[in-house]
Amino acid sequence: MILQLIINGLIAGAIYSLIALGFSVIYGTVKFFNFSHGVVYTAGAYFSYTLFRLFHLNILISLLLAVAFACLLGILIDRSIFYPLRTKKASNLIFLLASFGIFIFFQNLFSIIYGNQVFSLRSATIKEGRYFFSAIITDIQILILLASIFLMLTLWIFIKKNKLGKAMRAVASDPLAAKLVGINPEKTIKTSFAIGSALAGVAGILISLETGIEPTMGFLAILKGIISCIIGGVGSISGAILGGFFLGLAENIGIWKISAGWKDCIAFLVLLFFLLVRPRGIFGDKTQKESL
Amino acid sequence: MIIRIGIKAFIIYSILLVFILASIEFCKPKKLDYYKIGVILDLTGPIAPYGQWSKNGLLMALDEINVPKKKIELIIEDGRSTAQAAVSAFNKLINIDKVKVVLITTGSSSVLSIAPIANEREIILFTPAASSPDITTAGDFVFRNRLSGLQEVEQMAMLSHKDLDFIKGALLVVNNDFGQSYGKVFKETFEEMGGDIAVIDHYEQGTSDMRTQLTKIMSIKNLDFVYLVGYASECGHILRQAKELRLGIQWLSTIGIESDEVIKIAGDAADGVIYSAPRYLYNDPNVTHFEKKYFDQFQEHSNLYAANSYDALMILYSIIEDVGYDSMKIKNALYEIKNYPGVSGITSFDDNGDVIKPVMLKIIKNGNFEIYNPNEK
Repeated sequence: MILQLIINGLIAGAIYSLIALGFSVIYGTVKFFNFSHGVVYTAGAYFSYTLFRLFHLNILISLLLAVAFACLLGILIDRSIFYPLRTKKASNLIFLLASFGIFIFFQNLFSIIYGNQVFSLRSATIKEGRYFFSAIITDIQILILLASIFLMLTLWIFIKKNKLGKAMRAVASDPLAAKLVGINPEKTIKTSFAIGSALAGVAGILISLETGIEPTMGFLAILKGIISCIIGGVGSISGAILGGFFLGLAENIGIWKISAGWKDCIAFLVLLFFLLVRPRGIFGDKTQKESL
Repeated sequence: MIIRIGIKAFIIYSILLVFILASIEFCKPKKLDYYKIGVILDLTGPIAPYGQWSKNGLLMALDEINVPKKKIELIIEDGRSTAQAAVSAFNKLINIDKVKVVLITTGSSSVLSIAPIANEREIILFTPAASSPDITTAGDFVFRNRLSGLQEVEQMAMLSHKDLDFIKGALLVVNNDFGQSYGKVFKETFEEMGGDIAVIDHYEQGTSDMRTQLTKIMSIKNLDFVYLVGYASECGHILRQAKELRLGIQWLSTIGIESDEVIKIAGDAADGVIYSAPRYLYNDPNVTHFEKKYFDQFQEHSNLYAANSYDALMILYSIIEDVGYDSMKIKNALYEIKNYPGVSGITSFDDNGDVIKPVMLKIIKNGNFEIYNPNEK
């Protein structure tokens, strides 16, 4: 059983990491907790459903276009809501509230447009999983793991090597100094929203292949993403990845001896532990003082 | 100077004027020649399908009652599948609309949250749908014409132990009054018969990843069955994930599983599930008239919830016509009802405001919900 729990933990962790990664990339440049990230995640799922089931496009094209739309949605949210707030030099609390408002707005919008029932991207025949030693893993779960690892590696290389990636790290580190050396902070922020939202879209699509689509799916997802970031260290890319997998494993192994219904509770206990004992997270920067 | 007082004053005076006019309107004693009955339905959230079916049944009864003139007005509020929203709706109905009778089709948690208020304020709380055994003792003013879940659970426990010869089972229940009360009664009944319940696990309403619960169940040796209590969406996920995890086990469940959404989510993983339900068949010759009218109006077959709601409103209306709109008199008259010939079956209220009605067993076969006879193999 423990091997199965580990595998369950890795799959959950992969999704949490993707969400945390996108969240962290955005946080790195704008420095506030962007709740609307949760709704871009949901949007990715609904876009793929709309293209695949309602417009009957090919599944691969639907998924790729859905990621592109999620990316655009993220950029749109930034340009229309956050950019004006930036020019007015709004406080972090305002940004947080605004992002929360956007989240509620879109969640209800999806509920009105699509209704509350669960949608599925899959056909009705359920395939049994494959054996991995004594544990079972399905094809879609393998896809989730591979896709997540691929995206994380790609992003990690991009941030470390590519010029734009370096610019993002510069703006995250010190926006004024970045401007002085000729980096355009707005362009960098737009890039971070594009990448972050695309990652959220992918996560939403992967999860919808596994469990289905409903309007409220973004809420718990973004909470888990934020918890993962805090565990790993807010603003740290490797921290987001580590935090996500740590959380997934902690939740699933944590219920080995207690009732499985306490799974979500464990997530919040882990959060409390880190906030009390090591608020900067595992890879967090000691010098930076984080505020919401 | 008037212009300088200007906008601020204008707004203040307008608000005052509206307030005064509204107060006059509310204080005017209204003479109505029809009765108002409050209705709380879960029209959104996981209980929504039941709320809608119930509404259909109520509207059908209303059409028949309000001929030739209006005698009953239904004030419908959405319980939103949460206890908080249901309690707010109830308070609004009794304090603002001043109703003395409330019909409620919501989850059992919502009904149980409202019950203490209903008893204290002497408001009739009538549910055609909530199933928790705890509603039996929820108070003097609480009534229902749906049979208590206790009967369904006992039937299920007897089936598994006596007919299917099962010895060891696990319980997987949704974490609310519905799930917890059904789980508790099943465990007590099954263990009393000599069976063993190896584990009771629960899941939160709204979750879709049940792999952890299923993984734990898979590790139990010599397990004969799992008794699953919950609503359509989560049950669908559970059955699907169980098949993916190659968990081959007999699933026993409740009427919560009888939904197209389960088939949509679980596909052929739902085949073979045996469940209990209050007895209602739309093709029963006794309900032909009701079924035909329902089908013509709503383009779908009638079901238990529509039938119970229809009967509920008809019973309440006939009592109100008889004794007047006094909640004490209505309450006493309800306890007197014996052998009322309802479309949902013969209805008699016992001392707890509950009814005894027959239970039927069903099985999911090829995506269809069919009658199950344990003696036919």
